[in-house]
Formats: sequence, structure tokens, C-alpha cells
Amino acid sequence: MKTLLAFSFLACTVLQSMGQDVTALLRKAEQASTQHASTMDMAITNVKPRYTKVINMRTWSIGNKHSLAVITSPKRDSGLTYMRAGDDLYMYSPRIDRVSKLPASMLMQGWMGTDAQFDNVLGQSSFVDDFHHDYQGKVDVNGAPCHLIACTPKDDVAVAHARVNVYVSVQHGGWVRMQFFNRRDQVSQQMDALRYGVMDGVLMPVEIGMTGKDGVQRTTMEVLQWRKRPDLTEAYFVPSRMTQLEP
Amino acid sequence: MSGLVVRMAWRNLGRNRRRSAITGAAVAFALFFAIMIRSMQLGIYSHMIDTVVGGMAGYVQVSDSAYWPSQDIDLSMVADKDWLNQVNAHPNVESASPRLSGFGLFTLAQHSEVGQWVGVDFTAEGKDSWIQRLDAGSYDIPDGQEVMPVWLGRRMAENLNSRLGDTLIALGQGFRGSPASGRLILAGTLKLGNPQLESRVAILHLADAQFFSGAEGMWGQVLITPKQPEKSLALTPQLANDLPLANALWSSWEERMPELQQAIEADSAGGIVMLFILYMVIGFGLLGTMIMLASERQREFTMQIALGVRRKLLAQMMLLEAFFMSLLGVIAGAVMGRAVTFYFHINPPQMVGEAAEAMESQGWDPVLPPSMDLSIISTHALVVVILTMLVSLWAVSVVYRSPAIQR
Repeated sequence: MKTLLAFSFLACTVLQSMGQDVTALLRKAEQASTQHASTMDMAITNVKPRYTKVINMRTWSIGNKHSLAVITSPKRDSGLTYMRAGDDLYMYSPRIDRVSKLPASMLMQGWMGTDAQFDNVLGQSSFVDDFHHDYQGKVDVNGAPCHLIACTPKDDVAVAHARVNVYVSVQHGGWVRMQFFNRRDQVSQQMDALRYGVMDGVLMPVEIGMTGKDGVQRTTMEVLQWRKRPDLTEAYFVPSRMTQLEP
Repeated sequence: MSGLVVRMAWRNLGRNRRRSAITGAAVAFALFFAIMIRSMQLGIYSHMIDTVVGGMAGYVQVSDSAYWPSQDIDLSMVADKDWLNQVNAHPNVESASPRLSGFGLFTLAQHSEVGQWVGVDFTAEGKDSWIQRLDAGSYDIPDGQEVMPVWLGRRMAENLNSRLGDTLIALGQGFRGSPASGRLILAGTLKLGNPQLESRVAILHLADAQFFSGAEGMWGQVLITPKQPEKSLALTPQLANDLPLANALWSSWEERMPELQQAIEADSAGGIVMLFILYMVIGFGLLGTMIMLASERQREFTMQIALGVRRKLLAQMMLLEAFFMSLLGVIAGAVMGRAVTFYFHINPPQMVGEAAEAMESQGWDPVLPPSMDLSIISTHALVVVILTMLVSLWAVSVVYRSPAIQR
């Protein structure tokens, strides 16, 4: 009996200390790309059974709540601008020369026919603040050892995922894989950090692969250029800005 | 059968005119009601098919094999004009025309409506049919305008609170991930005979629709109207065989809208049950007059048999009498039925109230145009004549049962 008590006490302390560590692990993984205000050029390649489409875009962002993305190619879509300012989502189409406000629920919807969601392009929900964390041990992903952290959304957070498995690299502390589960406990989206690189002095995933639920298509996001922009402020992210950008 | 029998049968009809008239009237009313019930039913079905299928969906449709049922614009087919020319030249094809469609949000000031935009090639479909559908506005929009003309279903135009000449903003999903967006100028409103369509359809020029969605050089589907639309189901595989197109799916409306087909079949079966009940009632009425006729003439039969008239001759006479009576009834019933259906054909009854709403919610105009198909009259005339002949077998049996001496 004594042994059992001692053991459970030990288990509790270990779990408690792990709990703090888990949050710290996640914070570090998350901060890699969001701690700096930045601009980025990226290419999104969407491979579907019938066609392959490459979208180039430039983004401006602060943290994960403020971002602006303008499409630079293909020609037909160039000039299309998406913006997230806090909880508001906007779209500007040069063809109709008008800024439209989009419902926040669109954040979880597919973005321009790819496996990426608006959320992925315009800043993700914060795993540190918006989710409960549960450490599940170490597993190997793509041959590298990772911490597996199961995240479940807090009650008051509006997200479409029932839970998310985050795999954080033991070696460099960045995330390697995220699996998003829907309410039926099926993987609705999987993101893999395929390649890490140093951009403007910051280590970050520079190539991210995404697969949807059915797996018939594949989307790759590649960071072409990333620069710190300490001069950016939240005041930059206003709807009128969207009409002034040159693609 | 001698001329004597025919003459006697004919004269016998005049011996008790009231009895003959009652029998003839029973036959006439049976046929009249059968014609009314069936003409109304079949007329409503063809009205449904014409408005739901003929107008917008097409009797036969050709699309990419993956296009149905999602109707995803990404699964459009590559435009092939040579093949379309071949389809139009096929002897069984009345017309064939390409369409491209998708869904979008249409906004005017504070009002928004979700609708289906459909790109239509007016010249290929024949402008006449589209001019008939025009409620207001026109199809003659001068070229060189920056904005695209759009023709909205009249209910949708009402819901948007729009007037001719207003500029709408349309947003939607375009081809291969591109958002579809554009400014559309309201050039007209359409009456499509189908309230659901009228509250959600926006018609564009095919070329404008292709530009709007980014699907240049693509067709969503090709609609084919056969020369005999009622034979669509049988004709579809034949056309597919004669006019091969890679990765194409050919479907007739019965396959694409089984629920409409099933609703019609179920309703039609209900109508046939009604007719059966009608014939039962009329049949027993006729049997009653026939029993009366036979028993009234029992003495006459007995005497004729005693005088040496063969029973076979008498039986033939009875059958002929019944045939003449039913023939007169059929003529009267057919004339009445035809006259009334013709009147309703010219002035179709308009439903009102809840029944009208129920019909509208199912997707067609609440009018009841009767069918003018002559085969309805011939089929039911035949049924009524056979019924009368069957009933007259009672009189025949009385002839054979009558003794030669009345005690």
C-alpha cells in the first residue's frame, strides 16, 4: 500500500512538472515563426489528380492575429488580397474593386481549393493559449525523435478541430508534424514541416506539406523569402490598406 | 350474324328509350370522368417535366463522368465544338447546347442571395425560347460594356430588391481554386415556370460565365433535346454510342432526377387506383341496369324461344344491343370529355391557397393544364366498351337460362 501511495505521489509530481514543460515546449515551437513581425514571399503548390496549380503570394504579419496576404501569381488571381485583423476576416478582389468582410467561420475552410485553410495562411489559433495540453511521450517522425503533445481546445475557443496532435522535435524544438482530428476522430488535415531553414537569422520550417482527409491531393507551402519587419504595427492592418497594395 | 339481328338489336334500343338512355349515360359519365382524371394527371406530369426538366436541366445531358452529383465546376469538360456540331446534326436530336454553372453569392446594397449562375449560349439554344421566358428587360445589351449582363429569376430579383440596370456584385467559387468574382448589370428578369428556379437562378452569357469563373474553354454540361423528348431514356445510350466523347457521362433526366420520376409513378399509380374504383362503381351500376333489362324481357325471351328463335341468335342480339349502347355512350362521353379538357387547355385552372404553396414548394407553377393526348380517350373508351360487354354477359346468361315455356 505504501509503495502504491509513494508511486502515485511520484507520478503526480512528474506529471505536474511535465505539464509546465509541455506548455514551454509548445511556446518555443510556436514562437519560431510568430514572435517577429515579418513579411514573407511564399509559393503554394497544389497537386490534384486533374491539375497542378502554383500560387505565389506575399504576406505581412504580426503574431497570429494580424496578417495580410496578396496573391502575385497566377495572373488571373493576382491582386486578390486576404486580411485578418484580430477576429475579422476580409477579402479584396480587384475585379469588383471592393473589400468584402468574410465570416470568421471561413478560417477553417479550404483556401482557394488547396488543403491549406484560411487559418494556415492568415495565422493559426495559438496552441499555447487556446488548448489544453497532454504529454504523450516520445515518438519517431520521419526518423527523428519528437515529443508528442495532444492538444484539446479549451471550452470557450471556437475551433473546428476536436483535437490536435503536435509533434515537437527533440533536437531543435520546432514542430515537425501537426495532425488535426475532426469530431469523428478522423485526421481532417495533416501538416508536415518538410524542411527547416534559417531566414533572417530565425530557424523556421521553410517547406510545409499538407494533406487533406481524402488524401487525393497534396499541397506544399514553401517560404521563398522571410524578413523581420519591426516597423509593422497593428495599425497597418486596416481594410483600406488592401486596396492600395501592388501585386 | 345476319342483318336481321343487327336491325333487331338497333330497334330494341328504341323500345325502352329511358332504359337505353340510362345505360348509355352511365357509360358516357364513366368515360367522361376517366378522361378528366387522366387528362389532368398526365397534363400535370408533362407540365412538371417541361418546366423542371425541359427548361433548365435538359432531357439528355452530357457531362464529365465525375461531374454528377457534386456539379463541381472543377469537373467541367473541355469544350469540343466539332463534337457539338456532330450532335446537332444527329437525326434524333432537336437541339444541343453547352452550359456552365456554379454557385455564388449575389449582393446588391444590403441584400444578398445565394444563387446558381448558369452560362447559356443563347444563339445555340434559340433566342425564341428565352424571349418567351423574359419577364422584364431585354437580351439586346450593347457590346463593349465593362460589366457583364445578367438575367435573374424574377423572384430572386424581387428578393434582392433590384431594378433593371442595377449593378450586382457576384462572388463564388471559380474554376480550380480561383475565386469567381465580378460585377453584373441586371439586364432582365425571367419567368421560368418553376418558383425554386426563379428564386435562385442567374443567367449569364456562356462566354461571360467562363470569364467570371476562370473556366475559359470549359463546358459544365451539354443539354440535348431529342426530337421525341418522351423517349429520352431509351435514346440516351444510342446517342452515347453514335456520338462518342472521351470521359463523358450521358444521362437522361429520369436517371438524374429519379425522385421526380418516382413521384410521377407513385402519383400515377394512385390515379389508376381511383380509376379502378370509378370503373367498379360504374360497372355495378351497369350490371344493375342489365339485370333489370334481362328480367323485364324474360317473357319476351321465353316467347321467342317457344316460337323457335335459336338462343344463339338471341344472345348475339343482346351483345349487339350492349355494344350499340356503349358505343353511343362512348361517343357522348368522348365529346363531353374532349370539350371540357379543351376548355381547360385554353384556360388552365390556377391553384390558390395552400395547395398552390405546396405545388410551388415542389418546384412548379400552380397551374393544372390538362393533357390533350388523344390516346387517353381511345384507351378509356376501349376499357368502357369492354366493361359493358362483360356486364352484358348477364343478359346472355339469362337468354340461355330462360325456359321455352313460361309457367
